[in-house]
Amino acid sequence: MNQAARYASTILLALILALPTLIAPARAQLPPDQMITKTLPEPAPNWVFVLDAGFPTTAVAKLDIIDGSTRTMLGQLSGGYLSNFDIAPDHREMYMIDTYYSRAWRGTRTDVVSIFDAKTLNFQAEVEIPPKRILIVPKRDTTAVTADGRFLLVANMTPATSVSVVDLKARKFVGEIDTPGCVQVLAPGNRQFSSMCADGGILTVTLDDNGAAKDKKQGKPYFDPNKDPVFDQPAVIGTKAYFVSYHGAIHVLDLSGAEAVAAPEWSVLGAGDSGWRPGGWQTIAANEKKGIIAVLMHKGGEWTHKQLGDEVWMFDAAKKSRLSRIKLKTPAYSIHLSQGDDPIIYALALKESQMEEYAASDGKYLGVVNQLGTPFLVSGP
Amino acid sequence: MDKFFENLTRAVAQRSSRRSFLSYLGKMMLGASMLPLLPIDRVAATARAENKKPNLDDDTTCDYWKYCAVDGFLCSCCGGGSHDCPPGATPSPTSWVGTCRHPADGRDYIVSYRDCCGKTSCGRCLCANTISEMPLYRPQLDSDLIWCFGAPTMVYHCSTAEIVSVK
Repeated sequence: MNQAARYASTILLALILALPTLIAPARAQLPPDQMITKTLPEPAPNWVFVLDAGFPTTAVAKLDIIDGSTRTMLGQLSGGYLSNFDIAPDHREMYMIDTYYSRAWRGTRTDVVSIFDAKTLNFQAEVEIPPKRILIVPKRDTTAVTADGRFLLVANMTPATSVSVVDLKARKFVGEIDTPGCVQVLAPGNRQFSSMCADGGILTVTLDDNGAAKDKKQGKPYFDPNKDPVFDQPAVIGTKAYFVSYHGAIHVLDLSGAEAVAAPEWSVLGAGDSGWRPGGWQTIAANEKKGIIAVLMHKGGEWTHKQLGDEVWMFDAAKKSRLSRIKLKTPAYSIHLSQGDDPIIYALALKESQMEEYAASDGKYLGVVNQLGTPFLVSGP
Repeated sequence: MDKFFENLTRAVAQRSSRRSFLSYLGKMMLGASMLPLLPIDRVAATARAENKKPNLDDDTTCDYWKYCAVDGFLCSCCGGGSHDCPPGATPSPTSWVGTCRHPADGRDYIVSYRDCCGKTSCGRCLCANTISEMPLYRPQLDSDLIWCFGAPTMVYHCSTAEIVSVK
């Protein structure tokens, strides 16, 4: 290398070394971060609530709030031992119905309704209720809010069965109503609730304006639990409850009156569907606007009612005819349909701790939300 | 956890079962607004028809003969035994009952499934038998309930299987 070349390479090296210093002033300096706590907008139709019981250590339940359109986690609520979740019909408050022992797993039992602001997710208040609420692997209809948001109803079992009534407006426990032979609460109206009875009937309890029982009516059995029991978690849309049975019968009950009224039953099984059965945890979902029903199905024999579903079968509720069969990527335990114009099927895969989404219209796989713990229940606003 | 969920969600269509309350529970609930005890012979008959051969040797597996109607974490995997609570846990005074056929002597034994309570869930060896299992409106046949009624706390730890008598 001659002198000139050596000189040129020295200059080049100097330039390369100086490069970061030369371009740095061109880049703006980052401002300091400002830390805030986020808040939530008004719930959208495709939002979805997933209850994680926290198995096998069930002392603290968790509620995931997820935007199903973007599959992003928006926030969470904390609960207690085998808690349940409800949202106010006006979407201003959320409720966790909790059991606590004073020393987590020992001590004095306290049951409370914990009230959260739905925008900030801040805990606001609690209402203590009798320490009798049903303790079970989470089931959606162990609690309910009346359609006008005034009363929250909590199903009890000691094992005697009753319902605790909480006045949400006054934020106080107002009383307990015996529901002999019947459990759970479905609350499609303002001043009444329905419970499912051991004989296959429905108990309708009418409330007065103070939340006390005004009237109780239990009609004839609507189905025979000895022959073909219905799953205890119907899809309830408006005042209609869609029940599916172990063998695939659909029972639609209108719960709006002083006594439940049944429509003629029909079956999800057609010719060539032999061997298929409904199964899982939340086995049925409905979207009333579109008039469609989704049922989680698997192939299996007698007493396989908790087997994971490989497919979701879609039905036209009015025509009682199947629209499609949607094969799931991952077998699911619970399903839900969003209530918008273009409904999404949410399918909880318990073993994989995830929720998959499919378009109800054509079954297209939309994506997955993972790391959801032990997700048992799925519901929407 | 994988094992936990495999057991939780698998179809367990191979064991016979028949459940009812122990007389204790009947006495405890006398006068209360209880759900009626219901005939379950039909479901038991169905269950027997699908019976498969259980094992006699390993009480830490779901197929052990006495576990024909068990539902929960096996106490024998948690420091207890097939009919013993682990140290520090309290036997629940309430339970459901199954009828299990002993594979060697061919006799049907009445087996009481008693939960051990007072500690958080053991989390090991979950067996989820669904034969004759019914929804919540038939609670005496619902295995998802916490069966610690009458125990000092309703905190569920694990499940046992106790021979009561030959049927």
